[in-house]
Parts: sequence; C-alpha cells; structure tokens
Amino acid sequence: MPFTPTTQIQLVPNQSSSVLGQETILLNYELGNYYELNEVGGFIWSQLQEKKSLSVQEIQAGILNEFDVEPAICEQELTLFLDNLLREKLITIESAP
Amino acid sequence: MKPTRPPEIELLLLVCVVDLSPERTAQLIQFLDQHSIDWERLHSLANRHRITPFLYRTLQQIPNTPSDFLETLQRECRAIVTDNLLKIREYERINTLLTDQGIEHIVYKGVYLLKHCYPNNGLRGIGDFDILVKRATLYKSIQILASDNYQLGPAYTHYQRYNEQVMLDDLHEVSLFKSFFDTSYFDIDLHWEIECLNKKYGSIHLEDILDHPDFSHEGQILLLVIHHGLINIWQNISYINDLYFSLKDKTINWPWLLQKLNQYQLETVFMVGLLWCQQIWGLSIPTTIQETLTADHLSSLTGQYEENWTVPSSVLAVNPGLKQIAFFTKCQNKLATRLKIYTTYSINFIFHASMVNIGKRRLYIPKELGFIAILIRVIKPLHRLLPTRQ
Repeated sequence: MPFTPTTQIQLVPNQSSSVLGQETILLNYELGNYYELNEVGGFIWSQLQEKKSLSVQEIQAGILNEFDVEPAICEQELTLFLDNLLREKLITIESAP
Repeated sequence: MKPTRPPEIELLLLVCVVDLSPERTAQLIQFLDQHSIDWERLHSLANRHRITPFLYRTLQQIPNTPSDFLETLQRECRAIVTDNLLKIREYERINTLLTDQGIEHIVYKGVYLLKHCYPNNGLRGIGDFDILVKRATLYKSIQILASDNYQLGPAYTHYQRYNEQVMLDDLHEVSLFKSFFDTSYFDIDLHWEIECLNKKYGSIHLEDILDHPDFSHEGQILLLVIHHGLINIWQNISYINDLYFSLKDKTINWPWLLQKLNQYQLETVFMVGLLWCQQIWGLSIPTTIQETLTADHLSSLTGQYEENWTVPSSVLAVNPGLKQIAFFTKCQNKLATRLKIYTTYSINFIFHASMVNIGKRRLYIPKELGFIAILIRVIKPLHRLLPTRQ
C-alpha cells in the first residue's frame, strides 16, 4: 500500500464530477469511465476539490468529524477507497518529504 | 384570473429548492397527505417542464415517496448529469478552439447558466450549445468546427451550393452536430444574430453584447427573456428557474437591463418571469421594480401564460408564431407597438425563403418571392383532391 498518514492526495485534472442528492457522479475523461460515489466517498471527493491537496490523516480527521465511524474501520475503508481512486487514475499521490 | 393549478403542478413548484428547509419539508409532507398525486402524470410533467433534477433531489428527502418512482428519477438524473459533464467539457474544448482561431463568441442559455449561475451542474439539462458569433466570422467558424468533425445540418447545405450571402440574410442560425457515443450527438446552434420575434422587429448581434463588457451578464438575461419569454412563452417551469438563477446573488444593473428590455418592448415579458421568480423562489427584488410587480394586469397576464403549463409541448409546437404574437401583444400597452408586431409578423410570414418540393425536384424560393411558396403550398393539397384521369 503506498499510503501513509502524511501522503498528500490530489485530484487529477482530467475528471469532472457532480453531486446528485446523496451520491456523486464522476467521469474520468482519459479512461472514459463513469463512477458513482456514496455519501462518504462524495464527502472525501468534495474535500479534495475544496482543499486541492490533503494528507491521508487530514481526510481521516474530516471523516471522523462528519460521520459516526470507528477510527480503525475508517482508516481501513479510507485506504481501500484511495487505493481504488489511484488505480482508476482519479488521484495522484505525493509522499511527504 | 389565476387558473387553478393541478396538484402535480403545485408539487413541481414546491420541489424547486436548492436546500430543503424543515419548513418546506413539512409543507411537502402536508401537501402529499392532502392531495392525491398521479405519479405518472407528475413524472411526465417533470420531464415536460425539465425539472426532473429538482423533483428527484427534493423527493428523495421526503418520506413515503414511492421507491420505484424515485429509482426512475434517479436513473434519469444520472443520465442528465453524465450528459452535462460531457457537454461542459466539450464546450470548453470548442471555446478554446474558437478563441485560439481568433473567433469572438459567447455561449448563452444552457452551458452559460450551468457554469455561471446554477449552484450545481446537475440541476438542469444541457441541450444544444447556443453560440453567438459575428456575422462576418460565421463561415470561418463553420470551417473551424467542420475541421473538428462537426457536420452542418442537412437543412443548410443547399445554401452552400446556392449562395452563402443569401443564407446570412435568410436565416439567423445554423446547426452543426458531431457524434460522440453510439447515437448521442453534440449539437451546436451557431447564431450570427438573435431574432427578437423576427428580423424586421429586431435583432441582437454579438457586437451588442461585446460593446458593453460591464453588462455582459445583463446581456445574457436579455437573450434569456427573448428565448424563454418571447419565443417560448414561459411554457416551462425550468425557464423560470433559469431566470431566477441568473438574477440570484448577482450584481445586476437594473436601469441598464430595463432600458435594454424596453428597447425591444420586452419589459412586461420580463416582469411576468420576475413575478414567478418571486412567487416560487422568494427572489428579492429592488423596491422600485416591486411596485410594477403588484399591478393587477401583470398578475392576470401571468395567469394566462401559466395556462400553457399543462398543455403538451406537441400542441404548443403547432403554429408557435401565432402564440408568440398573441402573448407578445398582450404585453404591450401601446397600439403602435402592437401594430408593429402584427405587421412584421405578417411580412415575415409571407416573405420568407423556403424550399418547396415539386415532383422530384427541390426548389429554393427566395424570400422576395415568398408569396409563391405560399401559393404552391395552398395549391398542392387542392391538386391532390382533383379526380385523376383514367
């Protein structure tokens, strides 16, 4: 897993999204793929849109602040989610110096 | 007199919110308790009024909404959102393409509204790209778009064979299209003038907007009033929403806007839309304009426009010109303006260019001989009624 708490996450430019009620619709123009994010995924996505760059621990803190979830489960699910985004070329990552 | 609204229309007006407040939630729950909703009709009217995204977003937060109904709306909204994301990206590409080639232009209606006015890019669908260019750069624009695989619609290709200058005089827009997936197309309506009723009554050119860069948004509102209020007689609730979002939280130079509207006698047409913006959305309006909105005549006129909300679009599409002038003249209090509307409409009806099929031949009849085209259209059906020789 390439993620550590200090890994910085950024959205790639070649994508676009829209919030549809509780879900977020994403398009990856480069791959021509369509995605639907649930409420938590949409929250993470909107945080990344707003802040441009966030560390894994900052994202996790935001989720724990917004949703009723155990920290250990949050970390596990977040890593899985970010891993999926990375595999689908929707984010880029940068290790902290 | 205001028409009695069917409950489905009342409900569609109630769901027009961005953030659902507890008060509106309670109002909706009470409304649904007190009224029997024909969900099929509601669905059909939501599509007819192009406000499915508002209906879905609001009703998904209201308990006891039928789940299959919500699922249908969700599917449709996902399609709208996906279509919008693709179209916004394509427009941005076209914008760069035209700008890089030195083509001055603006986009108006759908893409403009979603990018600059609506709080969310899924709250309305995008149809065609409406792009306004200068008359002098039309053919260069067509060439640039053609080199980008956009094809000119078949209705316009004969003009290229006949005379390009004639097309500029006869028409005010051309359509171009490009396939992007399966049977889906990007469509561009490339305008070189925006007709206000017809060319003889008045037209707006790109220069009219670009010459006043400080009032470009007001110029967009003017174009919106022409398209939504004058040409399409405020027949969709989405048109009210468009007007609302183009005014909400915007710094509007009201004297400039009203003066421009007045120049084309569109002030009352605008006021009708503005009254709905206030009634449906609670839009704050300057006190000087508020006095105009309280006039009895305006309330009665709004009711007459509203009667079209339950008329199927296919019915409204029959003789749309007659409906336009009927409502436009109702908005005028000067006899001279009414006469101008009737006269320019009649001249435009008789003297407009057309293509007529005679046998296997397709003939172009220039606008100066437009009355011949009318005669042919009258005689042809009569000819079919004559007994044939054995």
